[in-house]
Amino acid sequence: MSSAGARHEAAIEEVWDRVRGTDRAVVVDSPPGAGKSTLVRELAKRLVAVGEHVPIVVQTNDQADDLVIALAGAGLSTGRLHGQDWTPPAGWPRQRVRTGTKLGELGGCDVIVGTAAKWAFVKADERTWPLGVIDEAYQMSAAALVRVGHLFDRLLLVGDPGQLAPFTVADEHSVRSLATWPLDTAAGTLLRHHPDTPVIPLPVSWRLAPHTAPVISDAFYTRAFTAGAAPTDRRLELASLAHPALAHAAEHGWALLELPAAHVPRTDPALVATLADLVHQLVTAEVSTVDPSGPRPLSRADVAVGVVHRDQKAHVEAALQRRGVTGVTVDTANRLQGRQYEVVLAWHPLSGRRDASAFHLEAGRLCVLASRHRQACVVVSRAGVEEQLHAYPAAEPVWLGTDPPQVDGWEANRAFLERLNPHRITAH
Amino acid sequence: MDPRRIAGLLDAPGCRRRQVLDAAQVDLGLLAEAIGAPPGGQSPYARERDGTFTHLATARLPELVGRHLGIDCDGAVETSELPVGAGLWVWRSPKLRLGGLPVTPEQIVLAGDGKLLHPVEIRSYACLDGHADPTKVAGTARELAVVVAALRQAAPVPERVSGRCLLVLPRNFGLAPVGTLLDVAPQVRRLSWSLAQLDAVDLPSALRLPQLAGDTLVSALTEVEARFGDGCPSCPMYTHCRQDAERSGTVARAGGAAANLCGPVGTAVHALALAHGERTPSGEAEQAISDELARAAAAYGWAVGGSGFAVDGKRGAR
Amino acid sequence: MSLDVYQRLLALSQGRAVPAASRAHRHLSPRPWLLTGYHLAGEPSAPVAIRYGSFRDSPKLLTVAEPRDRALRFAALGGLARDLATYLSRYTVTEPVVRATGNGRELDVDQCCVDAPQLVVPNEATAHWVGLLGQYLRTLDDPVLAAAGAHLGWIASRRHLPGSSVLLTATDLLTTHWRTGQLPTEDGHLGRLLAWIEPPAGSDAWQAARDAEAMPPAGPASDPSWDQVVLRPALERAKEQGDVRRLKLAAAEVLDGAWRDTWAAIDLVRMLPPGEHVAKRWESDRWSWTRHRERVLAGTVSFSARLSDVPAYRFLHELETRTAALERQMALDDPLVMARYLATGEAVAGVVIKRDPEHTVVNSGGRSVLRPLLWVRTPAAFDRPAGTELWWGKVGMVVRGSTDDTVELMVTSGAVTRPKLGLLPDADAEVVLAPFGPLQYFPDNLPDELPWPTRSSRPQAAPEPEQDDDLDTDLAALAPQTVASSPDPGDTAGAGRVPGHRAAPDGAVAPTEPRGAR
Repeated sequence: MSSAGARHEAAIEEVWDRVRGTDRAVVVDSPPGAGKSTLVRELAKRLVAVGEHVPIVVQTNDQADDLVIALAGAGLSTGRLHGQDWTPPAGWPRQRVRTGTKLGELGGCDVIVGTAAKWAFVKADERTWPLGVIDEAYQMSAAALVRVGHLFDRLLLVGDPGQLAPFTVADEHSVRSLATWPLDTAAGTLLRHHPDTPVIPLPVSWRLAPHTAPVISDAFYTRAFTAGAAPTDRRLELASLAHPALAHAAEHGWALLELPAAHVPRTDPALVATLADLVHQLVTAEVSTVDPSGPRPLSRADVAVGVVHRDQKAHVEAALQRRGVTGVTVDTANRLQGRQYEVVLAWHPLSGRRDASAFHLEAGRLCVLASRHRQACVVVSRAGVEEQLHAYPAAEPVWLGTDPPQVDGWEANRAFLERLNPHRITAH
Repeated sequence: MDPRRIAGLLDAPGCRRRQVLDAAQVDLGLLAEAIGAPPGGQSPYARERDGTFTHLATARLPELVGRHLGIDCDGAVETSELPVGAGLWVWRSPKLRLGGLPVTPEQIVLAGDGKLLHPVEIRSYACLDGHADPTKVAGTARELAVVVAALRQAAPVPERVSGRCLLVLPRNFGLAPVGTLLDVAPQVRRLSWSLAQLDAVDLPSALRLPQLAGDTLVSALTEVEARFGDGCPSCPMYTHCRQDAERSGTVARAGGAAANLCGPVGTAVHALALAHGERTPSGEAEQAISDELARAAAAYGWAVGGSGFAVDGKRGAR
Repeated sequence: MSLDVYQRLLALSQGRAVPAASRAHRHLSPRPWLLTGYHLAGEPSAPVAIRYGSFRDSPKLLTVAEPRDRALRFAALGGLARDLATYLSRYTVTEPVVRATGNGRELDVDQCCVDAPQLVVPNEATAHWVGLLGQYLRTLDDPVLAAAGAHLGWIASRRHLPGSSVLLTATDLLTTHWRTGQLPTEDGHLGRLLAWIEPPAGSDAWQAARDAEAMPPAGPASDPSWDQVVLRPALERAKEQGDVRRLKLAAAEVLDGAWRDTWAAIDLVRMLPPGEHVAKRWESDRWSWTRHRERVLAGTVSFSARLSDVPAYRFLHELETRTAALERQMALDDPLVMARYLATGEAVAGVVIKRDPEHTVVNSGGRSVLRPLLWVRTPAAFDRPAGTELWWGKVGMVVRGSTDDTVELMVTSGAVTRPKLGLLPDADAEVVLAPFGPLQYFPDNLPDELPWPTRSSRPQAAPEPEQDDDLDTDLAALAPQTVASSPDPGDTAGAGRVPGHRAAPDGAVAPTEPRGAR
């Protein structure tokens, strides 16, 4: 076994020991693609094997569906607790999974999966569990944890600390007037109230490529991690006429494709066209992705475009439709959390702006966009992002009694850009 | 310069005029007089309160330092250099430097725990139920960052100067001092970056002369490009730049959102001509801006034109 | 939002504000209680002068000759407390209202006040001050003052709730309904804002706004030079010679502008017809007032300045629900607000050119279900992709495809059964399809107490001792020399004193007012 594999296995065994131990809560910090889903599936299997029932709290319906498919695939008797409007996705294992809007409909299931919003409807006098599992515990807010915490005597929280912070439509100043911070992450709030809780980091990203993992680790994480894949394990093979940015990214993992500096509306048509052209080329040319399991043609499901705003998503999707390309995922950072693709094309959050804003500087946003890929990530941007970072006033309000964020958005953006400098390709 | 002045570098790092104003250490009193700005300064009542609270809080510092930093001491000791060890010190009129700039606070209070030195700062804005005006706290944090950075520059072992400072404020409506730890690490990082940029600011030759005043000062500053935006009302040049912006008709006069959307389209007249189809956009960026504004203009026209469109699902026209 | 920018540019080029709403989106009481005032710089609990009342032409004026003297402050605030009580006593009449209770299936009759009080202040800083004043009054032993504190506490607690009209600020009233061509931060200055909306004849907004700046600010913190030049001599005369005439004159002079401007803001918004949902939102304020009165009568009223525990989470839920509701309601009530969504391309305006009410699809269960189709002609291409959801009132639909001038939509809810087909828009109807449908209300699902993961397992660290909390700015509590002297940071660095090293006018300038606004 590789040393990365050994370190990963050791971390997994430590998690298992803790879960079987006496700690009231255990937190697992998982960088992008560190095997979090596998860990949850594996732990569920082991817990069921020792006779436990395992309730799992996830954050979105997509996450719940993915997890249920994986658990059912592992042969576990799984129930999907869902809301009224839920419809099963394509390929739903109807025969092997029980579904229901009420707990009572899922009797006999060893594992029950539902979103935090759905679990919040379960009353503690109905049933409680000795151990609950919370997946994506850094996407979940303290406000969501408050609504489900009473269901479980002990908790295992698993998540990626580099995610987008929980969001609210409410005015921040009003929320800050509270003596608590309900928009803290579930993991953060638990650690604050139970500082002795063990935190076990997963040390290896199996998703990111050897040359892309260090950039993500340095810019966005306080606990360093490495790539599990060896430098020779993966390769993207492109036709010779590929766009220079794709060719560069295939070789180096990164490319920063820069369009001429300009201040443009956020639906920048040139950026939309560039992204759509890159996708078109990726899915129509003969591209194969190679990993230790062998080479295979890159499919449309292997490619994603990450954007910042929903109107950008709409414009890119429409541009792809015009080019006859379907089946490629286009989505905003918050919806891409937890997903993985072979190649990701990312719209730089600060592209084409005159001034940066706190929203566009959020470390989690850039981190999510830049860490969804297995082979390569092409960041597409207008030139001039440095100038925006330079010009950004350090005027953020400071709330007494709160610690500064562990990863500062401005600093993370600067560090990321610096690391991408050697991969800069100028578009014409 | 006092730390507040240097902290001003973080207010508008994108405005070259502001950077030059600070880099050249222009006298703000002379500047206000030259541009006809209202005199700033502090209300006599705020000053009195400040003095009274500082007096009261100083007497209570040993207790606060003990509670929040675990430092046992009887009272502040005068020092004229960076102290070592454990205790509480007052360093009056230190002559520090930050990069090439002189930093001359009236005094610095330092609490040492044997390993680290923590700056202590007394301010007189209220801390109500543990909550203080976040804008004021941010301002204090920026000034503390200047102190921390300047002390680190002076210290033989820079890491001994901690970024965790003790901020002392009056509690609620009274004058009882209450302490809170304030971590200024992010502000220190931003400051060191801003100072690196400042080295690159080339002062216009006119501003290298000491003590410019009146029209000479104004015209020397006006030579340098400004960037008008949302943060400008707190700048010493505000009233002057504002008038400039009004004369030129720049979109930035209407705020950052307008400037962000209009990008290279500089004036409101130009932007509106694009919006109303009275001008052909040149280049794709202008085309995009034109499309965006034209849709806004159409939507506005629809709304003020009093249409019969129904939005509420009820049948028939509104 | 691009419409916001367009409106600001229009205003900028015309030198005059442009309308941002065509309906009034705040409830305006026929008899509001206005309050404008000043406190001593940096000392919110030491009012210098307050002008208040419901009568435009005969406001009350309260002045405190030595704001830091507790006895004088008591006496002055006592008058305000009694007048407030008189005003509030007009809002005690109740009526029976049928409302749903429990899980929404049972009906109950409850008593609700037919109207509620409304406080209007010039700006955000004054609104904030009202809360502080209430908080301060509640610390006092005097029952009348404490009662006023409780009422002000309730009023201030409504301030942060989107859609509540109990505590209005004139600047918010105006920025909700008009756009200026100045910096958004400059909109916090009431005088400037009014200058943009109604510049005096022969003057453009720029000049009018500069003139407005030259007037004293609208409070509650005054500007340093007014403090020095006008207030200080007036206060000294009042204190030393017992002659308050000069103080009254100064106060009246300085408060006049804000008083007039606040009424002017109300007048402007009163000219707009109220939005349809405004009464509904005011009803929630009436219920809140009713409950507050019940608590006052039962002696169970209590405030915590900062919510914690479960109430904090409940407050967030309420904020989120109200924020979403207010946005939708304003858009549905007012084409100028809906236009914001048209401008971003999220909403579509057009004419229904064709319908196919009989269209069906086969659902996942293999059943054939009614999913009518609509074709809408649009003035410009709709650039959102297939699958985008839109609503026409309660009728929900998804975009199937679009061309340069037509959008094809499939109805997916609200009119997908035969009896409800009549709810579809007619052919030739002009419609606006919104990016949101009827608001769904979710229960907050909060437990009665915080669960263990969000509570500390250890005993809380002992709070800081509070025994000296009444170490007041009261004259009696301080050594006379510290107050009588006017320490200048430059010359007070004597032995034992550690003045702050700065010239920061902390609290000397109201945060919402731009520098130079005076």
